[in-house]
Amino acid sequence: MIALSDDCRLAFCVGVGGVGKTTFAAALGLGEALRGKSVLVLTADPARRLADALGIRGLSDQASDIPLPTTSGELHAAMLETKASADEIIRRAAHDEARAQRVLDNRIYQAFSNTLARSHAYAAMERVHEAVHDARYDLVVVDTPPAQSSIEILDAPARLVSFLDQRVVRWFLQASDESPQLRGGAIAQGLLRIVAGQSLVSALTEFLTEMAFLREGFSERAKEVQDLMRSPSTSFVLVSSADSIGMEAAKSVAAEVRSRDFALAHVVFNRTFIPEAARSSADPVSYPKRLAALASKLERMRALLTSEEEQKRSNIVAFCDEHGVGAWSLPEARRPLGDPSALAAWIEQARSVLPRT
Amino acid sequence: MHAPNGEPLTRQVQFFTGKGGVGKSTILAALATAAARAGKQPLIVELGTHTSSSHLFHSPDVGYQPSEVAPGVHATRVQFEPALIDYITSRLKLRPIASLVAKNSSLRRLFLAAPGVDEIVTLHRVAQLAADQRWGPILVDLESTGHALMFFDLPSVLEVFLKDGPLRQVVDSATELLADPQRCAIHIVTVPEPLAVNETIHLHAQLRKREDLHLGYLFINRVPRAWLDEDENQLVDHELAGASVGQPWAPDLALAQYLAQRRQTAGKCIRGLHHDIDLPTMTFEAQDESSATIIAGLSDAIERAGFR
Repeated sequence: MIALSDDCRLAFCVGVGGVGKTTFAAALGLGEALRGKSVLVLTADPARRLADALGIRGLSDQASDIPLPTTSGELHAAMLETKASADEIIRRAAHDEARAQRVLDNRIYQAFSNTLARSHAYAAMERVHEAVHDARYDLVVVDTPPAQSSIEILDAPARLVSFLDQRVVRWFLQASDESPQLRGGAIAQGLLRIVAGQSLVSALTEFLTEMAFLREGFSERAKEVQDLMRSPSTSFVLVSSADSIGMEAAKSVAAEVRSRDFALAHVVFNRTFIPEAARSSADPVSYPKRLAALASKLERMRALLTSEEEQKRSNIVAFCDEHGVGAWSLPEARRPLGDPSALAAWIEQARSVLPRT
Repeated sequence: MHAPNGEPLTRQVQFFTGKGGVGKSTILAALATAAARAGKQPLIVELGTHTSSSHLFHSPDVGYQPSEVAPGVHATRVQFEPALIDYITSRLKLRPIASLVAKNSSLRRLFLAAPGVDEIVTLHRVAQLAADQRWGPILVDLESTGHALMFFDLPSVLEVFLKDGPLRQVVDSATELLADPQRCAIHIVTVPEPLAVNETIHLHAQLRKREDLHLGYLFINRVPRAWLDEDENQLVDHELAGASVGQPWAPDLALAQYLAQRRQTAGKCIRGLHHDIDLPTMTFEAQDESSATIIAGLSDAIERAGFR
């Protein structure tokens, strides 16, 4: 059965796109909710698939309640809207409407807060921090965007800490200061003007000045999220397909996760077999005469699908052995998964693979 | 398969976008293979840390400098650091100084933290490769749909506060390239599955709003094959509803029915795509496992359709 360890408070679903990562994140959250936890599933994917999987019309930055067939647990879902999340962060940190407004009106802030991969990553980081500290939730499941942007999200806290802790910010704020400690900064800033242009550097200085009040809190939370990602109560779940191309991608994402010292708790291989109801037996059968014309086609069909499944199964076993990690193998869904009961029925068919070492 | 006029695929720079995992890289690899067979100099451009083309072609890892991954097919990966040094070099003219700037620990932290730096150096690198007349077609493998939209939006995002200066030049040349119907095309890749279809229709609508972008083809990949013809499928349904219930061959019939349903769902998805997306289309059937056979099969199909 698919379940996280009981003390897991935060789970990141990572992997390349198109393997059912969002659908699986929804199913994982649902499974934990049905076991009695109060769960928030948070999707950072700019594309909006979580709502589809849960069968609700839309999702916003505010968590929506997902109706469950049980009363013991709770399931909530929210989508990361960068602009809304970022605005909210600024308002909360500013403690002062006028000060917040100056940042919100800043042209750098406006240009970047809604559009770029790294801005998404920073807003996601803040939202995860907030959700983990929200007493309403026992568990937060984060559905990260595909591959590259997913790594972006994993690296965001460290990058931000590194940037905010450094003198870099100081020379933007005190560029007129001629003290010797800052001279190196002035030279670097001069070079930056050449490569990025005067207008951008000025805009950036203005932005960082307005943002000064935020830096400390931001940096502190980034550090906390960084620690959180390596905490024993945090799990990374890699979602992949099990064909040869998917296996290569899985290896590369697993390496990215491990190289950051994150705990790869489980691997999920999706669409690895035909659902039980449509499976044929492995033994050869003799067909009646009236089906003789079909027999050879049916046999070929069965042989091909069986060999595909076998290949996937052996790929999975090899992966688990190599990485010393357990896997859940899931069937392809018979119908589009568009509501909690379909999701629950789907993950009930999961098969478990354990490493042999 | 439609027989589209080959025109958008003859442009020098081709961007490919679509939901992750739909086989974008495989289509790209097949197009590159077909182009190489036709005597062109295709270059596959991958972004970020992950390289698909080295897996697909079973070649050594693809790095920043273009390398040959299959006969006549080159690939390059836009890695952040060398792309950044290339960009800075283009401004400072001296590579050693550019390296110093890129390696300066404070500036480095800024470059790694600031939103947009990735996209800027990537756009610069693509424009740089396009300016090098050695390559054509240049096939750029953009990641997931959300990421691609951000990428195409960058010039307009930056335009707001860049009146002049070096970044303005990057933005201008990128905008010019993207807007040039003679040089650039954007293709969408998808699979005929319900979730992918929704996302593809949304992506297409978003791209359509951008009047300066020129859309090329819709590639529909992995169409499930038809195992049985219509009469045979009817026979299967009939048998499962009566004479074959509980028989040892019933599971085989159930499997056949399941696969027929899958094919039917795909058909509905394709009709939905045609209904909402008015791009010329190429469809490819699902192929067997090995990437070499997939690429060979797809590039044959592309050649048959007359892409040169």
